[in-house]
Amino acid sequence: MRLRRLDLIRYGRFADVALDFGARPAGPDVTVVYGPNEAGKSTAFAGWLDFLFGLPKGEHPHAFRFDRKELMVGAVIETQDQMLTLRRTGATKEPLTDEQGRMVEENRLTALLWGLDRAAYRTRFSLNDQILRDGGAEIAAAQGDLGQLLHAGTSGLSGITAELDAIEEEIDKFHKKRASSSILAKAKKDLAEIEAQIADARLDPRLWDKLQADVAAAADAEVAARADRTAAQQACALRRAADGGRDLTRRMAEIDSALADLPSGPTLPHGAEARLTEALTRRATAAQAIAAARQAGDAATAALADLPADPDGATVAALFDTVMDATFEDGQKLEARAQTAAADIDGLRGRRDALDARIAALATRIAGPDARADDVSMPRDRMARLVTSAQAARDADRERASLAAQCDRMASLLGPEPVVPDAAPALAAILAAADRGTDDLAALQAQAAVLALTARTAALGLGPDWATAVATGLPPDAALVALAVTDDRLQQAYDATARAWHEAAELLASLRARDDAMADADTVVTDAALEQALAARDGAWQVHRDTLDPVTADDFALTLRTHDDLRDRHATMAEARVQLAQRRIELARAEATETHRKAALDLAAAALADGRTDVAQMADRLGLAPDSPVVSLRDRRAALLAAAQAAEALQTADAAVAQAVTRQAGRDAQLVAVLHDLGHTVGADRMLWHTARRVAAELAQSGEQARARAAAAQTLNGLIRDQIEAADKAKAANDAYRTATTDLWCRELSADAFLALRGELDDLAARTQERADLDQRIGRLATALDHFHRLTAPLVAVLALAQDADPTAIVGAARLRADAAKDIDRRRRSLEDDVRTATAAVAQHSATRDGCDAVIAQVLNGQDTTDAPPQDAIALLVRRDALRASRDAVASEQARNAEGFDPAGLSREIADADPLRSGLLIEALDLADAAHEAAMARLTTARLLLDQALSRDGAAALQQDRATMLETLGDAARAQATQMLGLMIARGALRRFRRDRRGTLLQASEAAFTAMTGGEWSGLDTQQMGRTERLIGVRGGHGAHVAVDAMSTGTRGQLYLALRIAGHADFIARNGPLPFVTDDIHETFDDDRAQAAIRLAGEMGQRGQVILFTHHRHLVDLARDAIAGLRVIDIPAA
Amino acid sequence: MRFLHAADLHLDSPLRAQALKNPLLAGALRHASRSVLARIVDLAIAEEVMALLLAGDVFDGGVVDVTSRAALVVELARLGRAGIPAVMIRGNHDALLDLERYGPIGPSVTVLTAARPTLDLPGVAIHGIGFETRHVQDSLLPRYPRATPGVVNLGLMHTSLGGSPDHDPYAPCAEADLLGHGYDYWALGHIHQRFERRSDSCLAVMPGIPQGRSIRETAGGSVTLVDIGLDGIRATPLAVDLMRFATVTVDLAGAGDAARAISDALLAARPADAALAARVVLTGAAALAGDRAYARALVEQAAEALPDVHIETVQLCEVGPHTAPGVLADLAAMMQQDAASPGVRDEAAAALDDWRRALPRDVAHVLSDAVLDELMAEGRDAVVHRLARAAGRG
Repeated sequence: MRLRRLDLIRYGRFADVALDFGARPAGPDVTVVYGPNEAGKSTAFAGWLDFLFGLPKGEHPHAFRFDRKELMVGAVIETQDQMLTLRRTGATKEPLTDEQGRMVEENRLTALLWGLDRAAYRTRFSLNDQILRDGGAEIAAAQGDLGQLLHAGTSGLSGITAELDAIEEEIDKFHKKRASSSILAKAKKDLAEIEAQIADARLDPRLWDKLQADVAAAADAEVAARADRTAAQQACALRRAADGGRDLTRRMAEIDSALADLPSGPTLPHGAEARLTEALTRRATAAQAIAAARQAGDAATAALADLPADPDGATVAALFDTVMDATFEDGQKLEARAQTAAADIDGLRGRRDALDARIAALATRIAGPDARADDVSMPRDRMARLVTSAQAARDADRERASLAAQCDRMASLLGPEPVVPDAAPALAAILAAADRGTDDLAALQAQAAVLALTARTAALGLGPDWATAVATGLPPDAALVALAVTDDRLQQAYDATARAWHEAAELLASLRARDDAMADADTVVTDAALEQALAARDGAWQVHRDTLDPVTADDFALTLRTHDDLRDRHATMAEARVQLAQRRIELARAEATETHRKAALDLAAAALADGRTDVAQMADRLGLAPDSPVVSLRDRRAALLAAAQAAEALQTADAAVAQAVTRQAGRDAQLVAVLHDLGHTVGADRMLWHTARRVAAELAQSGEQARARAAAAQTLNGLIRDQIEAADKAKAANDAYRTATTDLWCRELSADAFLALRGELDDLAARTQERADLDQRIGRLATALDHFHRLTAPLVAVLALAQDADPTAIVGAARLRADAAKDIDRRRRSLEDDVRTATAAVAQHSATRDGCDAVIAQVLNGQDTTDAPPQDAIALLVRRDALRASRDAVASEQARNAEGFDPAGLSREIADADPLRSGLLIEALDLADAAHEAAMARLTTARLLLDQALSRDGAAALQQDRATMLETLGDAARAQATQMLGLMIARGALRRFRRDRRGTLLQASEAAFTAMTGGEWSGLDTQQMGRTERLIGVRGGHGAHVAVDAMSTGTRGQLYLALRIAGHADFIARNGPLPFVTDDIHETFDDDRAQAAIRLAGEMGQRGQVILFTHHRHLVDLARDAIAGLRVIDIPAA
Repeated sequence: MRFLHAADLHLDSPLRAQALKNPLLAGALRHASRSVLARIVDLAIAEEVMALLLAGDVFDGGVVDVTSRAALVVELARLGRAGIPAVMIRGNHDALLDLERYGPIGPSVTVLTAARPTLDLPGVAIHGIGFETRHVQDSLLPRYPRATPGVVNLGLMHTSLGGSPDHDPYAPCAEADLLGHGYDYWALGHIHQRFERRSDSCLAVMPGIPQGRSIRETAGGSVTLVDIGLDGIRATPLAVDLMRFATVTVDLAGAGDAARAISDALLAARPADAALAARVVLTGAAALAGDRAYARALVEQAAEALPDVHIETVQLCEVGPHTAPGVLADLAAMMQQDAASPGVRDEAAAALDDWRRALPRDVAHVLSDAVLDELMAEGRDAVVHRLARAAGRG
């Protein structure tokens, strides 16, 4: 790229000023741009940078004649294959255009800059005096690292080796061979520890086997102990059985002795004593009963002879029972019915006659004087059908009449049909659309106003160019977070370093104060002082021995005393001398520490300042002051974002208002046209919609009336149809009624007339039914009387009563006669029963007595009790049998006692009557019990241990911890190994890079530096410092090596310029031409060095374009002398 | 009829997750596989299945921590008390395990072997042959019994089928042969990723591992409920895992709020019924380039407010360093050239070997020779990023 022309169209004080650098000359392409102070030289220099990289955000230093938004700078650029004429403005959109104002992509320029940003171009190929000074200081500050120096000299980057060292330190912290405190070593120790814990925690098969074996052994021991205990228990049991056996044998002998005095004979069966006692008791009772029965039979036989029988009375009683049992046909007693009928029948016959007269009167009233009641009255169901038919005919007539009346009324109400204009629907549609529409213009305008206020509020405090900052793109939030984190880290590092330095400085000050204080105390006699005093004494002695005069004697005496004094003090100050030496060591250490920490503090301060530069740049990008705190950046970004969003919302709202206004105008025009069609002449004024709504309301009312009339006409037509249908139904119903009355007395009556007689007809039907019921009751009473008389005819004959006697009289006489006959018969049967009962009792009790005798004989059969009465005999026998049972019980107990024991062993045990043996056996049993308890406890413990082991969590949790540890370690190992490999590659590449690049770059820099200093500095060299190198200047003919930080500021700046010149040559050789621009960098050079530098510029002009801005006329002259064909541009006056 | 089919429980095999550095989470997942077993048993009881089918690798090894075996017995006994038998086979991991050695395993548990390959239940014949050696190179299918006529036939098999890239080939078996053997359902095990194979008459299901154990096992987490009815066989996966591993990629390019974008992505990836252990891959994160510590802090901050979301690792997906022309760019180019040279590769391989030897054996694989190129590329880019960042500061 070459700058052909720089157009300062509106920039700083310039308006339409062009600096024309012309075509590339055949010779050196060097241009000096001259302008006196305040001529705008620096402005033009800045214009060039702004053209290349865009106008910076925020306040622009050259926007004083023209506003920032009006600034414009242009250039004509020569590339390898074309000529570009471009313009740059401060606009947020399309800031780069061609000559005609058409947008040009930024990459047109950035491609020509080979990726250099503004800062890189500024510090590398666009230099001023300040950059030279800063660059020189940077080289001086980059102590002892040639790579860093060259790096700083060529690209402005620094710290590669330091960063690689930092990486290596991180890696070493993780893992370093034979290091015991590395993260990896510690992790391996932790792993070993946790693996030991796992081994303890897991229940592995071997441990399980052991626990299981313990359980088995404990179980075996328990079985053995149990067997011992069982044997001891059996020995004790045998002893107890033997003791019992002896007692039972003695008891059996006693029973046998008692039995010898009692009767012999078989043992009485169970219950024999009770049976014999019962038999004796029953026999006595039976004898008493036989005597009483015989006495009662004799008394009954005598009473029967005194009471004769009554046969006629028996006949009456039989007939009377027949009459009283007889029933009438309805199930009731005939005797009662007959007595009631005789009392009621005459009264009922009188009521029937009166009812006949009333029925005849009703028939006459209904059907006329000749009518018969039987003709007029009819069955109930027929009467019901006739009434239904008459009602149907009457109702149909009424329905027909009602419909006719409705038709007449509706026809009278129907008026003329109203007229609705054709345009009415169009008017209604427009108004409906307006009502439906979402356009509330006032609301939209209000909303827009609110949003405008919001947008203004959001933009408050953001400065006038906030929109430009937003348009050029806001940095991502993550970048600001990263910046804040970095700043915080740097600040913390600085604070920590400062604290450390302050501590060191305070320590140093206190040590120095202590030394000062000690200096005032007794002076410590050092070995050197003592030796010096001794030497003085010996010297004085030598002088005195040669002269032997009083003066030398005094001198010698003085030196002698001095030496003695020092020697004495020296002898007593050994400890003080040690302390002095210690203090000096401490002081030296403190001084070294303070120096070291001060250097660290300076580095931290520099790093913090660098970080703050990033913050300042970001602040500038966000339109904030450069010294804005980093925490404000995110707030600023959020505020910018909010302002942008508010502005966008306002824009949208304004557009909506405009659209709503347009739509409203369209609707007004439509409305005017429709109203015109409806005969209303109105303009599109504010009364338009009022008029339209009024007309629409009137048209709506007319439409409503038309719809109501059409509905009424439709209803009338329906009524007429219903009326015709009702007439047909009425005719059919009347025909049916006539047919139903054709053969009846009422055939001449209308339905209404027939229904009017319905009350009398119902009364007639009821009375007719009542007479029929009465007639039936009288018949039944007569039948009952007839039956009674026929049944009682024999009884009347026996009792000799009259044939027509009243039923009540007949029943009374018969009852008296029958009751007397029945009483005699009952008393005779009772006496006969008493005789039979006495005879049977005698027989029964005799049998009982005989049976008891048999039982007594059976019980005592075979017993040796012949002479004893039965009561005494049974007592002896019972006592004998009780003794026999006791003997059997003792024998059984003896058998049970021996059960389960070896008979021989038991016999032996019985035979052994040693009283101590039982105690010994019990003691042995206690021992066996204790042994078994212990075995059980062991077994329980073994099982418990196994159960506990099985129920433990095992090593799963520890395995989990181990896995987590391994996972973490693996991830860290991978990360650090990655860094290790990257570091290895980087160190190798860096070595090669230094080797490849240092040669040419150093030589080029050296040539430029030597030329610029006119040979005062004869070269550049490097010096190895550990793993790095430092840059050394070689001064003069004798080749004194001088470190950069020992050079003067001006020389360091020239060294920096030399490095830049070499770097520029290297850059354009790699990437192509790029203008090298300087702004009055020679004003601090003396004339020789300025001339040399200009000559170098001439050499650079052979390779590419060089532009030198200056306000020193003599430099212009120097340049003219040094460079053939130099182009000079005078900045035009404003 | 209904069955529950699980495999590859790897009881008491630990989870390999950095997220477990969190002591609370570590406490909650201390016995993850036992908890998952309990969930499986709960599920079997709730679904009233006819049997629980365990298709191998119930344990992680042939010599177990006996407490692990006790834990299994306790859970299967609980299942047995609910009237549900468990039918299992041994897989390659627990091939040598002698379950009976440590006492009875309960009447409701049946281990199918070559000697006893079939268990008959009402209307169902369940066939299976477990591993008897760790390495079974040949197909076990020819040794399986013929299908029993008139009943439903289920088969349990531990097999790598036709092969799986992440699993060793064990008892290989062609899918067509398997599906054509005459069984109605094949309950498979071995491959930790779930899949189904179906023919007209047979369904074979690999249920996957019920609880993924590391970020390398992201496709499991379920057991399979098998319904056999008149309408055929249906297999339904049911989640049982406590924590699911997943890789969550977040594109930060254009994301205004990076933390929010990460948080949203994590939330979207979190399963409904389990915790999430995520490997977060950030793309388009130019601002974070090379600063892994900050990237990790950013991601952890984004995840902090999300319940049950834990961060495994954070990766920056970088497309290589972009540096302005100049010394650093030249240096980066030289590094790239050097990295490709045999000498540097040999030196790097030797250095990596040293490191690998220094590592505990269980994690030495992270530095295997196979990843040398990957590590070198990552390391090269990381260092260049750091140098560029340092230069940016300077």
